Amino acid sequence: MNDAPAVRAENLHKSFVLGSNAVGALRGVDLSVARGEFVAVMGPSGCGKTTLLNLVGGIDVPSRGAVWVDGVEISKLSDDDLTDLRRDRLGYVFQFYNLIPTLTARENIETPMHFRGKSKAERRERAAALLSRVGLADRADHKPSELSGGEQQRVAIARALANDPALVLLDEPTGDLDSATGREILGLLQKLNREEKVTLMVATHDAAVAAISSRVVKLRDGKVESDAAVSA
Amino acid sequence: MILRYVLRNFARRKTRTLMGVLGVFCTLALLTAVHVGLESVAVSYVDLVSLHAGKADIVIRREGSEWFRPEAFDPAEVERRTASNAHLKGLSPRLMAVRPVGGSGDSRFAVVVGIDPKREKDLGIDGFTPWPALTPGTCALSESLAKQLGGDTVEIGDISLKRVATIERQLVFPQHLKDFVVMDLETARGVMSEGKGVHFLAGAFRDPQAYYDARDLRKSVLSLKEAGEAIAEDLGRTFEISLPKAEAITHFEQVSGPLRAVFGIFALVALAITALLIYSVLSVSVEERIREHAILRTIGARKGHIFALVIAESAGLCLIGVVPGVFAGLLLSRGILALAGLAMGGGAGTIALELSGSTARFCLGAGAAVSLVSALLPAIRSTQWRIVDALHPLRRGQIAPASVEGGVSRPLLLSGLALSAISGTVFFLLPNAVLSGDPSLIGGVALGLLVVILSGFTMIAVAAAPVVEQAVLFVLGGLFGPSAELAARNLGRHRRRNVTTSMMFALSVSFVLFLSSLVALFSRTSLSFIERKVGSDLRISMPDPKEGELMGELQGIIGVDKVASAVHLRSRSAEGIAYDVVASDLVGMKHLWVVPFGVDAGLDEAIAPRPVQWEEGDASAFRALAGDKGEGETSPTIVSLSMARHLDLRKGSLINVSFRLGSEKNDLRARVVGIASSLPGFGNFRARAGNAQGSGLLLSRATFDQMTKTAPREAFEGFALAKVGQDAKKVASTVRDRLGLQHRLGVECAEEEKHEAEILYWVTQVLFAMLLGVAVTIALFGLVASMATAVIERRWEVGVLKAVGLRRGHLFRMFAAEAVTLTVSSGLLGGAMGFLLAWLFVVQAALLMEIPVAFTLPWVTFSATFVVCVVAGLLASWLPTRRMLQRPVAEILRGGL
Repeated sequence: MNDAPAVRAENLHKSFVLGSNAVGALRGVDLSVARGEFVAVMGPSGCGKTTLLNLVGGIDVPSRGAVWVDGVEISKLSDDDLTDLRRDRLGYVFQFYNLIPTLTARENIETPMHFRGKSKAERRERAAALLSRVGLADRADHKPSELSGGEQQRVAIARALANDPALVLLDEPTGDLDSATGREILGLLQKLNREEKVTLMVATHDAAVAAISSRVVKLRDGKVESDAAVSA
Repeated sequence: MILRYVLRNFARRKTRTLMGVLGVFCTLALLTAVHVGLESVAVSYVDLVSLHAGKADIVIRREGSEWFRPEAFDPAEVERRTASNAHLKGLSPRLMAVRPVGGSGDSRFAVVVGIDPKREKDLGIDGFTPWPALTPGTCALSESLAKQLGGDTVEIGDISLKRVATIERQLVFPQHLKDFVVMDLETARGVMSEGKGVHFLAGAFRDPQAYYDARDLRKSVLSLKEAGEAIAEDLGRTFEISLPKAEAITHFEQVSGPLRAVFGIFALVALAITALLIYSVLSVSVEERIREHAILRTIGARKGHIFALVIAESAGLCLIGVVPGVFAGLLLSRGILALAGLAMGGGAGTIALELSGSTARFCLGAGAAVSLVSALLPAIRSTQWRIVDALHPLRRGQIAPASVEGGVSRPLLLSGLALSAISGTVFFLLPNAVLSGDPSLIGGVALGLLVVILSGFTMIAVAAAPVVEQAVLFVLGGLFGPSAELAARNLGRHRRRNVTTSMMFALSVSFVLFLSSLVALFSRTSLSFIERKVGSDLRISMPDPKEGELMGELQGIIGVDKVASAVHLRSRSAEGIAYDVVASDLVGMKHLWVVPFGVDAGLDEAIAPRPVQWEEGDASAFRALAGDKGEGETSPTIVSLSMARHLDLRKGSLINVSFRLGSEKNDLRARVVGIASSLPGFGNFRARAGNAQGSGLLLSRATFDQMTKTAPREAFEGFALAKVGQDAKKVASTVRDRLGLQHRLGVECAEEEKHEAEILYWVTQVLFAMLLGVAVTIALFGLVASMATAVIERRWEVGVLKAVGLRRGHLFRMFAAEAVTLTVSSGLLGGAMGFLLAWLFVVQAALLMEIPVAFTLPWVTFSATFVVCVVAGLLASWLPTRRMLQRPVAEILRGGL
């Protein structure tokens, strides 16, 4: 493991062209996330939370500025290298789970490992362990359509952890869940962060997420409005 | 895991998978049937050519000897000269003559054949089935003759023979000879009063496999020719040889070459339609799974993985469809070959089914290639989405993969390149094709031109599609109510995708309509061609028109109302005497080699009046000829328009007609009483000055005889035109039976030929209607896939429309209006393209042949096309929308289908 922060962003800009107007989603964001941190990115709709996660996650490219993930500047990577970085050092959890509907829970978790070239036995073992960690050992062979929202999100978290990433990005992980299920997911995230030292960066509206995080970054109009540690 | 993912995707969209698989299945079945069929025909071709040419590899006769007038020769001399020939396995003597044959009832002229049964069997040229056990004093009769003659004995002259067998099939002489008697050689010598001589020696080659190569007909012909030449060299100049099978193979090659080209094009079009179908199916699949692919990309799938997934899906579709398709094709070809065998006069098993490794590889390879090539674009597109765009459902359908602004227009570039390549090749090949006279090369060039024209038509169709769609919507709009307006806007909005779909549909329809129109136009044109060719109800060709009793016998047949004969000179007499007839103006400025006819006085009553086309003069010209006794200073003549143009003649002009036979010369002066551009029954009455050489010229019989009085009898041939008052087919049959063999007549019956043309027309119409079914079904699958894309792309819009109060029925009508407009307009455009192409083809052929084109539309196929288009449109809109329209608005908006 290197000593570089899990994430470093410098002067990050991102603008979209809507019709004939350019709209700035991020306007010069500087950010650094240390390993083992649990960062909640908060702010009103349209403030640039998801855009920031997309840029950090390497699924979108900044208009200006740079991002380092695990010490690697991602804007300098080729498409394949960037894909490999996402596969090996990043985990991504979406609001709507985004599981592959034709694959079972176990197969969904195995997919990133498959792309990494792990053997079938390794994949099986790791998927089983992850399913146990998220409390779904008995639901391994169920397809997403046979799982509840909370269960799907837990599978999505397990999938994000499949290749032991340096950083897990979560975009509104409780946004589509009822409050009880949301609490379960938060408990799981807290456990992952505190007990297994998984670095988490969560874009959320949910104050409960902020409550269990170690740091809250507030965005407004594409800029960092505040960046403060949360007292335990 | 990838495989599992692909397979589960197939299961997820069963209808679409089924459509893709069925498309591949249909095409492969068709492709296999065509290829296996052609290969089987090629492999069985020795049997097939035997049907036409007999089983003998070589036939030897005395020089100048004819089939109907054979001359006897000593076989020992031939056997001595060919004894050391390496090619020849052996020779079998044959005697042949036409004789009146009597039974217990009637008497008929029949071909009498004498053979050496043992020798024929030993050489493997035994061509009678069942093989008769012939002994001296016995004979076997053909089935046809056996039906006409009763009793157990057959009388030929004053010899009585015992009937021992009836022959069902023969592979000895042409199939149209139905009445024959077979006997052993000694018996035949008695019947024909021949001494020890024979008329023919039929031979077999030592090692047939060395000469016949089914896959290289040209090589076969050259090998046979080489062997024949070696034998001819041994024989010297007093004998002639013929290679019946080599001649039949040459003919077969000429026929099968264009047939292969047509089927090849057909297979290519079918494959192209399937490629478009797979392209559509995969495009929908890719469109539908943009988000899924983006998720996979997010969690570590490289672009190559996504590309491979789409290709694997295409390969899967192909694999599922190809194998059953090939089997279905084999079954289909088995049926077709059985029918073809029966149609050729052989049995159902005449053409054995042949499947070679190369054909199997070709069919499987073609299927694989089509699936891979057609999957390329969707596969590439699947990798071009930006993950972030693809992940957000609201942005999908509103964004397109990044295009290069101000860059190269790929469709234009590709179209231009393709057109330039084809037209350049055609331009390069055109002089070679014309000079070579090779029918396959000329056909290839013509097809190339056709492709260029088709491409032009396609571009016009693409450009005209919006206008036609508007017109169709205007006409059909009432059926769809207010939804029609929404449909009109959507059609405009999704023009790019619609172009692919409608062109796929239009090409399918145009292809079928082209073939169908071609057959319709040729069939209808052939009816008028038949009238012009036959010239009356019956046209009877007479090798010896000066047989005094023949015209009386013809006139005596019940049903014959009027008969008139026309006599002309052979190009060279059987004795080898050359002659020529030259027409010229009176000052000798222009000369023209012509073919004069001496016609009977009753020609104007026997000739079919409708196809006679007078440029100058009228039917009274015939009467002028009828009144000519050949005694005046000038004789009346009717000339062709092409001749009149060449010699600058008008009605009333005088010409010199000069007959030369060796050193003899006989001139006459004739006055033009009529100029005709077309005279039925007289093939050389044409219109163009370029066709003037060998033009027709009618003289009275008296004048013609006067002019040609020095020519020997065998220099003449002729024909009779007969108008009949009752069933022409029956009369034709009577003429054939009573006089055909005796006088060696050839009888053409306009009604029979028209009937055959009509049957051909309807059979092909039904065949093309079926073809239309297959082609449109394949295109329909693509259409459904395209509509599915439209549904997926617009689900948000549909959700919103539903949310604001549009009923399910309205929404269905909106999609139905779109689809029906698309199918009907592309059907109309495709139909027009196909018909216009066929029209160009037929007009071109008619111009060359100087026959008028009869305008006709293949109404059956056109009507079927329209119905199919409407049904296809409704189906294509119902299949992809049925599920979505039943879902709650919220679910539609969330993207669930």
